Amino acid sequence: MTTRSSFAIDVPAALLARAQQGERAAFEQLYRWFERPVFTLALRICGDRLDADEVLQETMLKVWSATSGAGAGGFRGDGGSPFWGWLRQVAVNESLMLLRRGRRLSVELDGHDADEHAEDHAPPPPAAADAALLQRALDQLPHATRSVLWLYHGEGYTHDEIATAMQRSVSFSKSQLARGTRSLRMLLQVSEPAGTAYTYKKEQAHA
Amino acid sequence: MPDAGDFDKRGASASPVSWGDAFAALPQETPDAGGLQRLQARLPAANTPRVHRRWPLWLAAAATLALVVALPLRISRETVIDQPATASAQQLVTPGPAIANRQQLASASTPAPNVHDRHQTDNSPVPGNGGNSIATAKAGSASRRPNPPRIAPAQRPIRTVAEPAGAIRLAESDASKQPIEALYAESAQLEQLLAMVRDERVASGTSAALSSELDGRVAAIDDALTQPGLDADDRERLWQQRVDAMQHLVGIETTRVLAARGDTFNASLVSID
Repeated sequence: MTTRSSFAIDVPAALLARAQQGERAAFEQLYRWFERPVFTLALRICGDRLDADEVLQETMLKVWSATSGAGAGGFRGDGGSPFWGWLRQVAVNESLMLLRRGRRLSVELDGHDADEHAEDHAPPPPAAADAALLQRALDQLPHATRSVLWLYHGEGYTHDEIATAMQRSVSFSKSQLARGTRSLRMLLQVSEPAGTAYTYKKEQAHA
Repeated sequence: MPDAGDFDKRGASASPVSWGDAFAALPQETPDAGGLQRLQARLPAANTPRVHRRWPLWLAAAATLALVVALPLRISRETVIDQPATASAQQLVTPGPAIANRQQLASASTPAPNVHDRHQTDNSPVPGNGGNSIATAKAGSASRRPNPPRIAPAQRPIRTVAEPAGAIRLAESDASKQPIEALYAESAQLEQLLAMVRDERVASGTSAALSSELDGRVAAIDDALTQPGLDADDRERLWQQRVDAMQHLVGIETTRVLAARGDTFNASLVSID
């Protein structure tokens, strides 16, 4: 998958080093660079600006703790992993945790785990090019489904990564993706011309 | 927003190639302003990074200069210099109904109690505040210095470091410029300055205790700022108190570092009026 995440900002090592020394100006710089990607991701997952704002605050607090040396499990850059990838994972975790706290995720997860796994390889309908329409359609999806869709298509997560982040199975991720994609198609269906019905391919083997 | 029916007439080129493309084309959302300032207020004061490196004298001088010259200059630029030419001298010192009476001023001149004591000593209700948690921080501010007369928000006094304790300046009366934004910025500047001048290796018992008390005061104000249900006036008051406490803190830290090097700080040399 060639998805280019909005988080993919290469942070200079010198800036990170300054932040790790507790320099607040460096931390502010990091905040300015990542506030919109974090807020956008949180808004896509949580569907609410207040929630997204809370996620932004909590994520950046963790960044501060981790970079200023107080955080266990903070960013280390082991194996050349980029800072933005670590920060994005923090933001994803905070978003999902907020949904769990509000029991918005657990309710939806129950009863949706065992489903068919149909991968939809067809292109999106033309209406998906309209940002407002697509946004409105996404807003109508359940939190869990929308989260999987966004992580998969928007951030380029694999099913394994989604399963880990959501503490569910890979089957669950595939199932939600298939359901979500179908739902989006229906919600974006605008008198499609005849003969353009999309076909779904059943996937037999999955993790 | 275009009518949904328009898509029937669009060519195939309008259609995104993949869902990833469609999602990537969604515009990034922008959070409300002030997020960084709120975050900075939540950063624990105790975790303020302490600089443990050798502190060159030129840096001490630069920090002091920034404290004594830059801040008052900036504030005075926003207040005195930018005052409309029609503003009269009476406006600058107008006691008026907006200013609290002399008894309030006199009662505010009691020595500052400890942060912990404030919760016990101040039981008096605060007008318009209902005696909520803000009252504690507010009481702390009122009791620690004798000069905070209650002035309408549009004429809020801004006390600069170089000014004598009783002197006040009037903030801009232009209500369109939000004073709280200036307080956010000033607080952030003071945080940076504090991180630069602070050196725990240099401390007398008295200054360390005072510094610690002020740290506690800032933390208490930060706690109050995180309480839900704060209205704009309460928030602005708290931010003003935070700026005041930070100014004291920076002053103490600067003084003790200079003193440790056998130097003194002479405000009269850089006094600005």
